[in-house]
Amino acid sequence: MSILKVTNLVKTYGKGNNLVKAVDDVSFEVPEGEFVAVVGASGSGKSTLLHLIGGVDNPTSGSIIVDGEDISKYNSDKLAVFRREKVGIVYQFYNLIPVLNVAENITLPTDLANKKVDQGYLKELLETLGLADRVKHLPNQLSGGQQQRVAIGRALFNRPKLILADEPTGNLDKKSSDEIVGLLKTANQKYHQTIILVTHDLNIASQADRIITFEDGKIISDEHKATEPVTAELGQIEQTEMDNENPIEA
Amino acid sequence: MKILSKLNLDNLKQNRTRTIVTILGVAMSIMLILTTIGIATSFWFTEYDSIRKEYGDYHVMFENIPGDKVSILENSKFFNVEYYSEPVEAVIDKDGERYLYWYGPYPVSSYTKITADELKRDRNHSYNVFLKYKDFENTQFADKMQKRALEEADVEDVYVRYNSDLQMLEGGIPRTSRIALAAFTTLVLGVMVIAAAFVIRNSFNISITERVRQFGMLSSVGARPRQIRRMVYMESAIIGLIALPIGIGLGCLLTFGVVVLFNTLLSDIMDAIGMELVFFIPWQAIIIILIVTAVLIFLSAVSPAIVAGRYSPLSALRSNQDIKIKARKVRTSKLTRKIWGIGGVIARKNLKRSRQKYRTTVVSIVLSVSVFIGVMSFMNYSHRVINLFINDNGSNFVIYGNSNSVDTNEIASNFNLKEYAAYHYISFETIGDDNRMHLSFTVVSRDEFARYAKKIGAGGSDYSRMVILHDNRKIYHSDGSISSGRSTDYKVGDTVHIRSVSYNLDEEDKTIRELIEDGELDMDDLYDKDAEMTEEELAERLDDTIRVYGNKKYKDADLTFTHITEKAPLGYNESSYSIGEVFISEDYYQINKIYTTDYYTMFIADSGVGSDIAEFLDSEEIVKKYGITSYENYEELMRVIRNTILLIEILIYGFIVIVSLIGVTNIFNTITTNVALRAREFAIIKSVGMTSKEFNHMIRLESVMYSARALLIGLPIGLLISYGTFKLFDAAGLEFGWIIPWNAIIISVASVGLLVAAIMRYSVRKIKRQNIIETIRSESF
Repeated sequence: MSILKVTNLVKTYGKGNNLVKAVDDVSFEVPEGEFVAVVGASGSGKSTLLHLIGGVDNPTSGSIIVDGEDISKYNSDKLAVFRREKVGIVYQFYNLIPVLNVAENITLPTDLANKKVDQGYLKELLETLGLADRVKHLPNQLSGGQQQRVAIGRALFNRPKLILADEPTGNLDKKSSDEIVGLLKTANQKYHQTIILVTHDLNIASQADRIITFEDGKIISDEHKATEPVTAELGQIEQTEMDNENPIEA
Repeated sequence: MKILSKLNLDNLKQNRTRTIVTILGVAMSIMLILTTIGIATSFWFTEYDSIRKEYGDYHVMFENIPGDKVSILENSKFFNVEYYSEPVEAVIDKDGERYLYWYGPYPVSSYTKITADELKRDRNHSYNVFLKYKDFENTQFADKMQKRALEEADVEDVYVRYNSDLQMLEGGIPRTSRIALAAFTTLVLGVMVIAAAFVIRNSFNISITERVRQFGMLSSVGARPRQIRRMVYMESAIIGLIALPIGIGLGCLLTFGVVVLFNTLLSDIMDAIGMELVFFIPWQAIIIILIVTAVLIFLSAVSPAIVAGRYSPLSALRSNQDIKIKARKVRTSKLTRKIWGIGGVIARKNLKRSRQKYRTTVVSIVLSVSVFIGVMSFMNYSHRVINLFINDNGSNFVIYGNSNSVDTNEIASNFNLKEYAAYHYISFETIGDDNRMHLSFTVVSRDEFARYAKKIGAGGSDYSRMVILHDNRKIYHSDGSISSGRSTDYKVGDTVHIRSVSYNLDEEDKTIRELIEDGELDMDDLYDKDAEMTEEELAERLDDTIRVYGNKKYKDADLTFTHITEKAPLGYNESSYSIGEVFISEDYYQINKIYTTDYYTMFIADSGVGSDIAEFLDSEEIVKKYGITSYENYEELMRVIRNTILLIEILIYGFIVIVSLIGVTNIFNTITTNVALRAREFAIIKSVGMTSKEFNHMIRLESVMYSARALLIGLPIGLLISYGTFKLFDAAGLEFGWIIPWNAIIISVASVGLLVAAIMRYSVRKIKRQNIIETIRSESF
């Protein structure tokens, strides 16, 4: 059962000489429950792909079918409803509403859908995320890692079928990054949610079931973990050991 | 340095709308100040110039100083000589009238100026010397000392004339008055200047908050705080450079407009005085305003500049501007969630977060709303008061006369009058029935009686037999309403008897016998009490004649009411103040059996003929012919009153409007910036799944909550002021109840609501157009 089917997807910016093909005729499928990492250099178009799937950007042509819905033709209102029911998105930064506290930020999609908040699940999620003692805190009172955890909580809370994460660890230290990826894996394994994670960090990518490599708007490789190792073209990325005692204050 | 200037300019251009609105706000503040000053200086100058032209440009004039002693004044410690003239024989005033004796300063038309060279400095010639005080400290002392100096030099009979009006206008008023005037002016202008300062400083604050990241980033790449401060000063300079000329230009224009308005609306009065308000703004005033405002703008930029310079490089990295939100500050109740939904909750929290930023705008709304309501209340009451005292009985011109041979129809045909009425009053004495005393009896001119009969539905009947009772009294209620009702019980068919009286003012000789027969004298009056009179002596006396006049004659009459109505003829109020009026036509079939007095009143309803009739009635011949005692040009009077009130209203409301507009620019900038800063926040909310409809709803809620908060403070204050004005009128003895100024309240609520909604819609539309992800990722400031 494909949760996602992308067919001949194209996204271009600009005109004539300035035409940029961010996504250049991409097609692929993702079965439900898979943990996919999309890797590529900066400017390769991977983030754009993610945003198209998440309905926060409109394709130039092609189709995107998520859980049976072809969202490529949706207007903005239908996309909004789609976003709060079917999809959870985590960005690299600026995820949270500054005036809402942790709990309110997490339950936001549910509140928007006017559904009743499952307090039990909320509590459980807060425990899992390690935020139980910061429920009433505002985003500016949290560290970067904590903010991202809230963002993930929000992405998970409405139990969407598909979770999209756009470089969620880009702003974080190694310890927080590992935590974040761990949470995503838990969501994937425990709640059977499909994860598509965009990253340029190959170590993070290696934790996924499947790695799709992007370059210049096209998929240049699509490998499942058990098979081949990551292609060497992208080179090595050095890991810096950082002081884990003081998380970055954002 | 140049790159920073370029950055500044680009920024201003990018935020074009906000820059323009800020410039407008500053310009309008300047305009307001200049206009207030301009109106005052125009009034001052009009008066000053007219006195100068009528009497001359001097303060004091020493009269008939011998030619050889003139030098004493020329060397005076206290005075400067302005000019001289030959002695004045007869005074010619500005209308060309000639007088031999005159008190006070001579009109300019009475003398010719002479210069010092033309003087013949010998004993055979004398001159009037016109002087001005060197300074206004203790002018009385100066006068006294100067007089003494002249007397000591053997100048006899020193007579001084004072051109005191000019002196006062040039500042020669008592020190206490001068201080009071200065204090008052400083207060009024000070308030305006401070208000302008608030507006300007607020604009700069908004501008720098929007550019926190930019300043932080510049700092992080090595810009010194001083360089960043300079950017802010430069921005203030640019705004000032553009706003100042615009403000001053508009100020002059508006002052000129007020002068023209004044002259147009009050042209009647101005023509009568023979003067016209003159537009005058001294260049000194403009220079002062220029300097003061420039300083003001600079000073307003100081604290924002310092704050901007302090933005650390870290600010560039932070995505939230307001780091310091406390959870408690944005707490909302569960009720909010239930009533308004999640959109309302977010809106409410955002307002709580921005409370401080919005404070100036809330203050400005509160101010405008409360003053507006208060002023409207005051105007409402003033109108009612004026209507009380104005009897609008439909006549534009009224003539009062006393003549027994007047044919008012002549006057009517002279001026082609269509609507006029002449009334001759019947004077009477009582013969019994009390009720009659309260009625008045009047003979109505033929044409008007016909019109009146038609008005009450009895047209075409036999006017000669009609007796109409007008019985309609005004009743004042404590809630300010007025109703009318009858005051007598008369019915159609009732008859009243009157004894009409004729006051014969002709002199005649009458014998005592006749006087006794007429009832004027009593037999007892004849007897000299102490003397004894014989019958012959008595008989003789009876034949003595006495010159008598003021002989009263009586005619009794019965009037039977044929009609009773609440309507009144021309010149009478529909509701009368007396008990009732009885009207009969001059063709009444028994008119010869009733005496009328010689007093008559002629009401004319035709418009536009007032000045012609007034001119006509000014001739002695006509006055004598028609026995004119006085006349009133109500049309003109009403027009003057109405126009004066209109002028005052225009000025007051105009002032309020301009002040409110300045506030609007402030509100506009605050809201648009605040929304722009939240662009990403809005994008996140949308990305998490809020539809456009829900988003618009959230924005609308924010507008409503914001307006409601401001109105919740402004309306009660306004009502308080309104109640205060009611108390003022109540204390003056007028019996109105407190009238709640609903019209002002509705206008305030509607304006504020629409304004805020419109501004928010405008701010949000730029965001709506943008793609969600573009907004989230945008780096624009």
